[in-house]
Amino acid sequence: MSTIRIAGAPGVATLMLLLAVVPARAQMNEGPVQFHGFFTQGYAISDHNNYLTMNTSQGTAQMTDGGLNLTWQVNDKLRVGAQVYDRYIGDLGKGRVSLDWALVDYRFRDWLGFRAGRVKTPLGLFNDSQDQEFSYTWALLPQAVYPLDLRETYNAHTGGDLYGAIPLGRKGYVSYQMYAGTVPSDYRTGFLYGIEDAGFRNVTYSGRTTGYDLRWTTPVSGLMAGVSQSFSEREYEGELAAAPIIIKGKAKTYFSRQTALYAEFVHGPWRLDAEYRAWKSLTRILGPPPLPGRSGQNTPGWFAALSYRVSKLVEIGAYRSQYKFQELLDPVVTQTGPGANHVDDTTVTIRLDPTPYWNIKVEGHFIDGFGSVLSARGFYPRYHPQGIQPNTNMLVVRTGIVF
Amino acid sequence: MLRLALAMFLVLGTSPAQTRAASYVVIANPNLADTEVSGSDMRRIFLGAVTRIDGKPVQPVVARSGDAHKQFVADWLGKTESGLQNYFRTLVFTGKGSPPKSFATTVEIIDYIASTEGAIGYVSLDANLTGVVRLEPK
Repeated sequence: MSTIRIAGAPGVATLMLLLAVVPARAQMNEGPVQFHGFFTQGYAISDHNNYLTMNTSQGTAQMTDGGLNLTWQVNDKLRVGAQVYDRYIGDLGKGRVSLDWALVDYRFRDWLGFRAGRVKTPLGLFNDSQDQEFSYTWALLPQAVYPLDLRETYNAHTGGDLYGAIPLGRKGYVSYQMYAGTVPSDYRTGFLYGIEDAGFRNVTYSGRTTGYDLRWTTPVSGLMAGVSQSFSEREYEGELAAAPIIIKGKAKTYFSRQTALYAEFVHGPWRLDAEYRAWKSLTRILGPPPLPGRSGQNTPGWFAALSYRVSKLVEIGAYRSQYKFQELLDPVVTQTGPGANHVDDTTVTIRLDPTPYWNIKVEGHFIDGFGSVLSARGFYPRYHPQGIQPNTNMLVVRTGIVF
Repeated sequence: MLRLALAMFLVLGTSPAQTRAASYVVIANPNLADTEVSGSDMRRIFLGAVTRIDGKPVQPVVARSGDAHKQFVADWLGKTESGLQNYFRTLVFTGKGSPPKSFATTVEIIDYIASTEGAIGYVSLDANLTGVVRLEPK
């Protein structure tokens, strides 16, 4: 099992306690054994809809996460380590401590290394670092590309990776990662809630993934560009929730491909990030009517983000992100009307760094659209018994510490 | 349009090391005295992408703060101080690497580099460079 329930106390509270009692000198950050951690707490309030499974329309502080890791650099080639992660963001995570990554890393050469165990999956600019809010300007990453509610479905894999860096002379260098493995099943995630809201219950699933990431550190100072692809398969079992008798069904997503094209450019205090994500999936459904025979989805997204470091204390930024939903095979069931089949988010942020280890962010989101019940992305029917409004304005305040 | 964008990147991305006086010197252990280090090598060494140059092990050493640190990071790594710190933290929290050795003072940096084969770092121009060699990355 990859999750641990700490008896008598939610995992988040335990993490808070751990972070509070860990003395700074215990960080051991100069030796071969290193101990690090982070913890964040947020508050979100919105005008209409409830976002990301949180009760944001009433204002909520149920937006907590944190992680602790221990790493041992055994020698200059071999490293082992593990990290636990816990989140309680609305109904996401629900305070269970999970094994985030745990790996053995052996670097044969600079151009060839190997990792085995549970490894964070590289996909686009931020997939493997999306929990590390201290590393980016925003309180929430652009949800069109990095949906918080789908984190567990492609954040890590259990298997093996090859990686390395290849010099290109005066043209900079290319870092690569290739991977294959299974995807951990998590039943406290928007992926499951989306399937349930589409009319199923008692759902179980498992999956596999392969993929690669290539990122080119160009000779132009501050410019990095890359491409990633992941190819996944998933199998599901569940029951039709609305049927008076038990109707069991099986499904297999036999094709799910995500392609990310991305770039980062840093020039002095300015930073520009942009990413386009194509995501297409095809699913075959086995079971008696009224279960449909097949389903296919095309869900592209993109964002462009600009930030400016005003001083050591202050950073400001804004981004625009867009997500689109298109049902490929059964267009007759696609929702219509204002707000359907897209989520466009314009966001402005101010970030304060009182110390190198502590930040505070205040962020405004101006969201048009709610996506589709067939591909829930932030907005779920179960949290909107009166229906989902087409627009959402939301304020997020988030603070984090890291050591 | 593409040419215009490329030209803009090249102008903006020209290394400031080539256009303004540096407030630091790049130094190394004497065992790297004959090693030629390019700008691309500098980036790869300090961002953890390589551990050997010309077959010799290299180990980056960084300062924790200061003007020399700020300018070095901007010139050779194309990052801000906080951007570099976040880069190292990302390695740590994704399990994909460790941050380099860091020191608070020039004396500590020079002492460590002088006593560690393959160590490479940077200090302010007025530092006493006894025990280390000066490198001139191209």
